[in-house]
Amino acid sequence: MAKILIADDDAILTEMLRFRLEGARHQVVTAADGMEALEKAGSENPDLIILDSMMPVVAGPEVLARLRDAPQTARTPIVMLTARDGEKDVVAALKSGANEYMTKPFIPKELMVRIQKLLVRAA
Amino acid sequence: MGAQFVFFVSAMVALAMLVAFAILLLRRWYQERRKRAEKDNLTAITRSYMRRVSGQADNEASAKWSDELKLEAVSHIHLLLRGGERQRLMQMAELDGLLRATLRKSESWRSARRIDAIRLLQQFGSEACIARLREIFARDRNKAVRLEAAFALAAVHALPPPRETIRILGMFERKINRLDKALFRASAPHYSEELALLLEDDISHDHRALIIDALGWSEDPDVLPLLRKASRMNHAELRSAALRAAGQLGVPTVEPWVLERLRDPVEFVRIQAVNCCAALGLHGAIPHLRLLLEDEAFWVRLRAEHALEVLEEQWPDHEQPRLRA
Amino acid sequence: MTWADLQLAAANAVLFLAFGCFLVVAARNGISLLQLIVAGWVFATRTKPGRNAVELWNRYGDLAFPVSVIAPAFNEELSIVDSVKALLALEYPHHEVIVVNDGSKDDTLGALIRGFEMEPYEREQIAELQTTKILGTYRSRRFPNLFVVDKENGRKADAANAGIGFARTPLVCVIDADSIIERDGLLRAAEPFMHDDGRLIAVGGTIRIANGCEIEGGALRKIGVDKKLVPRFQVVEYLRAFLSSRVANAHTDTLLLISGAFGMFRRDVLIEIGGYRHDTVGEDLELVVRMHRYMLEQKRDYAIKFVPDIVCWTEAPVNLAGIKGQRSRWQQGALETLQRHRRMIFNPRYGRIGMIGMPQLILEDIIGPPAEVIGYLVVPAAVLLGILDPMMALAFLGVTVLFGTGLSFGSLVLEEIQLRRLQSARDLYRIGEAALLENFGFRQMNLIYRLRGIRSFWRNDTKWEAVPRIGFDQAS
Repeated sequence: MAKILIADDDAILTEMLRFRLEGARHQVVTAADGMEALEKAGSENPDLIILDSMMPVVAGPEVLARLRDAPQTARTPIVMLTARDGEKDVVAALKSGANEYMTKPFIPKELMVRIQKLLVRAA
Repeated sequence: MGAQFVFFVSAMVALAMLVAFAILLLRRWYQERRKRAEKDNLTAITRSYMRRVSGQADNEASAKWSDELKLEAVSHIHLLLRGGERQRLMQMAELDGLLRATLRKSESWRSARRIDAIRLLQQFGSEACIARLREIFARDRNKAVRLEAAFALAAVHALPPPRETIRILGMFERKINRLDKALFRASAPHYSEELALLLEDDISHDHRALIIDALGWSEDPDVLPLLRKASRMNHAELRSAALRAAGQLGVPTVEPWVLERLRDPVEFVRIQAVNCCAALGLHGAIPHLRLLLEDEAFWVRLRAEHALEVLEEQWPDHEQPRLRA
Repeated sequence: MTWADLQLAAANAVLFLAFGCFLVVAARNGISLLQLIVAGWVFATRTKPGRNAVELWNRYGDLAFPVSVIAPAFNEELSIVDSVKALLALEYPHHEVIVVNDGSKDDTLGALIRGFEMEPYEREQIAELQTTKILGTYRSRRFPNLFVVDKENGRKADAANAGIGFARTPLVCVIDADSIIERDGLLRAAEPFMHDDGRLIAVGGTIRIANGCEIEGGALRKIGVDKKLVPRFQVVEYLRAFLSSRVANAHTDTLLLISGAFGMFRRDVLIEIGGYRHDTVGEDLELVVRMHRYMLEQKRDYAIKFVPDIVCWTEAPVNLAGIKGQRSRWQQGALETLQRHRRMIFNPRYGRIGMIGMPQLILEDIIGPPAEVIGYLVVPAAVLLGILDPMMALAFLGVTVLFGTGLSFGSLVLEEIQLRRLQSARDLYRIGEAALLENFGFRQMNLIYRLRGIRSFWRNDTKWEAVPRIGFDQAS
């Protein structure tokens, strides 16, 4: 069992992920914008963070950069979610420190497998 | 007109405005109160559909959920899901009769509402939706609506052959815009042969260029001879379109005739040729591109510089003096 | 001539004046009403815009023309890094951000260099539209799409021109460095260009007041409405201006103003006409009028459009002192533009612009304000002289207030039904309240400020350079 932070302004997407993750016996914390995501990442100390690249207030890539700069979250596995499937974006995200990258629409099972792997690796 | 009359009328109008404003406020207040409940419902509906999609028992479903709200949830989930689960979700939505309202809306007398409906139908993309989209595409009286339907059909990979599309949208009777270009590109993978045949028709250069451009999106290497032929035609638009298409198609065997175009007399053709070299990673173009750094046209110099950067980044081990200061 | 004759003549003159003013006020109100009706029609029949950035992106991602966002900055050391971060994070497939440091007295350039790891980088300027000297150009090691131009101080027009000269994309979007662009604002403003067959040269969008909203790191966190009345009055004014006038003007092809806080233009056309003019305080109005003039004189087919969706938020003056400067400048700018392009007025060669657009500007900006002021003075005088029934005067005053409120209210209804960006019923009430209160005091103060603008136009006609530079936050 792990604690997972979902940072996304899309309530339905958050709910879908929550359903899946809770089904896999994980504990879920949510944040609806970039600023909240940064706050929760600090206070909740999650084991893994799912981060949407398009978010209000502070955009995903910026959140990612700040998370990597903070010692507490520097090594936390991060999965980026994005609506663009440009090769350039994937490279940019991985370069800036995301461990995994998923484009919307996605296959939930695939996402779950990737999350599981990341958690095992981090443990 | 006496003052009293003016007073009376003003008072009535003021009263009407006051009432209207009060209604607006009340409406907003009511919606605000409902919003929280609605949001909870939306997540509950999401949960319920996710359960059903993954084959679990769904014992939380409530009869109180409106079709409208369910549709909102389902059409949103649709955008996020891929693969088998998406198929199942779509079936469930149809079984639940969620599309009835949308299909009705697609017959509204207001074109804006019909366009709204088209966007929803496109999102679902089921058999019934495609059938309805085809009907709108072929018969709607409003051009904008037909165009929207064409886009929806292209998005669900169900666009009719190019000749039909051209006829129905009257494409060749007006100037081309970017949306036309997008439509042709979208239909190219399914209809590369039909597009090639169209080239034999007696059409204007602009239209021919549009088709040549689209061939680049066909993912079909059989069109390469056509592109080569187009790259040597008299009309610069055609040469440029051929180069754009070649760059998109991504088959490096085009190198000889692309390099030829680096010396084209027309500026924008040279630019396209340079872009094409960069896109295909044509390493052999590097010496030619060097020469273009001295080109008379600013944009050619600029693109050449950029292309060299790209090519050198791809072959970092290659011995090359740095070009940029 | 007897005393009685003189009295009669005076009375007649007063009555005549009052009637004239009434006609002008009635004409302005009539036009506004017409605009509201046209705007209502446009909104009722328009296709609803895509719901969110993701949808827009999916539809247009491959089609969108690359855009350069030109952000002139003057003394913005504290906020520039956040603003630029927000600009870099805008949702758009290919956009470059060109920040022009307009000779700031503070360390704006240093903040940029530190914040984005900027390094000096030579880049050829395609068109030299500025009159001041470029001191240096920089690129970022971290963001390939960020470019900074450092130049000597000029006006905003000059800074924007310098940036436009460095742009390499087909479209440029000129903004104020402190305007807060909606995340999908660029996509929305670029959308008309995708439906276009080569005629479209400029697009404007709705601008809203950011006062009262929660802002964090250069981005909007929560939309709100200020408690203070002055910003609320301006919200009402902006609603009227953008949701009714501009929508109607654009629909009838007579749009003369794309606000300096956000405008999307075709780069080649901007360069052809030489960019913004440096010698006016109303460079945004002048630019669009000149675009019309240029295209019409060249007999080229063109279009200038407006998207009613909100593209950007801007901080408005919080008190009357701020408004005073802003409104005088707007007024002065309008007069300068009218003077420069006076041969377009009522000139059939300039089509609708000459016959409808410019005359409307005259009614709004030359005849309107003085007429209203005279009305306020003359009507009480006529009542005192006993030539106007006091009840009648009161009745007409009532009608004016009613009209003013009615027009604002109409725009508010459009906002509520179409854009729905207000967050709560309370915010709606606050704006409705301001729409009514505006008629008692604010409107009149505004008139006085505009008269000041007319005065400074006459005074500074030739020596406008002496006008002190005020920060961009107040440009329209």
